Amino acid sequence: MEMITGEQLIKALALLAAGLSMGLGAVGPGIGEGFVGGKACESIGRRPDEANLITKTMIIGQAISETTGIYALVVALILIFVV
Amino acid sequence: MDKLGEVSQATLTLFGLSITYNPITFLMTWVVILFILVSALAARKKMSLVPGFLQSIFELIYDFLKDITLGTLGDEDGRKHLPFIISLFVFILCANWIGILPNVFAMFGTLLGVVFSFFDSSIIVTFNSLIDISLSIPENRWFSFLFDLPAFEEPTRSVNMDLALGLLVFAAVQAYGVKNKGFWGYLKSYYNDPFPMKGWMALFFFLNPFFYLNLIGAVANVVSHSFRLFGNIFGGGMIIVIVSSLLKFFIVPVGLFAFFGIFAGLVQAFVFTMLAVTYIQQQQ
Amino acid sequence: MLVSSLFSVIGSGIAMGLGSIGSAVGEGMIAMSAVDSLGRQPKASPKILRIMIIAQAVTETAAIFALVISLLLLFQAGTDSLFKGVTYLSAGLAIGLGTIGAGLGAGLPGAAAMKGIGKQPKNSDVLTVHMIIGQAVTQTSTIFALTVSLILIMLAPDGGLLKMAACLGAGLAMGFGAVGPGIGDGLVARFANLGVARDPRNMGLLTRTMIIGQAITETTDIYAMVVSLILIFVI
Repeated sequence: MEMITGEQLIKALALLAAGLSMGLGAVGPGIGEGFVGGKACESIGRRPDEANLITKTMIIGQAISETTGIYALVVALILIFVV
Repeated sequence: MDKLGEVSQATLTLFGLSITYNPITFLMTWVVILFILVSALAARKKMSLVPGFLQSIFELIYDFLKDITLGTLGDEDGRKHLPFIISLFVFILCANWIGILPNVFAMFGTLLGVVFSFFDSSIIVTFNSLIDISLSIPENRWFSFLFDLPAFEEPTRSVNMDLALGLLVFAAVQAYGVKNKGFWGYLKSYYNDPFPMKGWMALFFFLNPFFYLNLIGAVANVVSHSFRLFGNIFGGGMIIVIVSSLLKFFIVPVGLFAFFGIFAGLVQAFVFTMLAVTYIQQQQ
Repeated sequence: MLVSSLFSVIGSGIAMGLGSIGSAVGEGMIAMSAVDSLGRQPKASPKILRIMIIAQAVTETAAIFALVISLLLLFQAGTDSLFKGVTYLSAGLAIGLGTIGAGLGAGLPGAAAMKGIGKQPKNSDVLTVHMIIGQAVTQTSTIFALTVSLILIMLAPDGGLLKMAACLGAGLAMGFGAVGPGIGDGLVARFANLGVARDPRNMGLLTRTMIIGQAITETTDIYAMVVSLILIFVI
């Protein structure tokens, strides 16, 4: 096996870190968005007349919960393509 | 299996710019468009009070989407956006479902080859099993072009197509927002309530952290909207290819086709359209 | 080479070991609710039993995917390239971690449906249909993990240190990335099922909201898949 330079090692670890960043970063938003969606379904079950308002609020809430997931994606892409 | 990650590419030179594109996606998009056009014209030709087969399918789609769109956007705005919403749904649905068609050209060519092998000794047919037939056809037979035609592939499997659809919805939503709220009202929607910017303070919009959060949110919507379609269709297509090759194509994985092709295709088309409706509603 | 076969065997063990956690807990939740409902409605016991078995069978899907990958990896044990060994380990990690979320998630709507049938056995047909739709969409995260780990198994056996790290990163990204959205999808389906159990007339509205909510919940999962596909194919 050929010698591994320090630069290669850093790049390899960056790729591994990109995987970990996206993987662990996706756990929280997934569960959080699930709570938002679940509670929205519960409210629609109680008051079906307000379905449009509840769906709108659900989508906004989920979009904001997802922000950290997008940060994880951005960090992973930076680790892959920039480092 | 070596071709798993490869994408077919072609280059087009236009006004000195070289553009790389995927010819299969391009072709399949036109196939979908022609299919929708022909079936819609055929359905329109025989309109009647008692609907025929095609007409009842289109009426089913229309009624379903009309209820949701008018219920969400209100009567006036809903009617304005209904053609856009229905075109989106029908196009994405047909694009997702085209992948479940088998490679009919190659099947037809194989059939012709088997028939012609009785008259033409240069065509050699080998039966590996009942459904696994290999053919060796000389180049100059008139039906050998059938084997060069590409297999059906979902245009939505290519990320370019999905991004284009996402950007289309984004542009429609922003244009509607500007038209509905006026230019200043539209810009104001990027400030949030905790730090309302009033009067001359509005010039310092770049100090407001919520401005950036809303900006990221707007861009992230496009990314998530289009990647959701891409991920589901691409994942489904990939798993069908891999499992078919593991089973050596003896058994066509019918259950997988049913789940990924029909169920996931329908759900994703519906979700894409519904999110477009909701993004439009947010600009009201 | 010993090390590379060792990797594929370890990968096989990780796939099955981690992969059974989620489904086991999920099926346990379903059985718990079913027993609770049996206590309330002893007369409806055949119905409850039948639907419990359907719900558990769907929840089992995630563990079956893990089993398939685990067996595939055991058959690959004779490999002699270190790179393939690492990809096998990574495939095991992807499917093993990736089934935890969907297994747990599919259990939640199943348990809610059983609870609903315990309250009103006459709603069972509507609830079963709604439960199966919710569980089927919940499986999406596992299916992505399965796709990535099959691609990793099929990958051509050449690559250096960079590619090895990228493949391991891809497996970890997909594996961990599927946990959260799987549980989240299950939560959405659970509350939707409770809503249907309360008033079956709202089923159309609730199915619609549930599918939209689940599709948005899966977004981070899709980001994880995109990142792992970039790591596999672009690097």
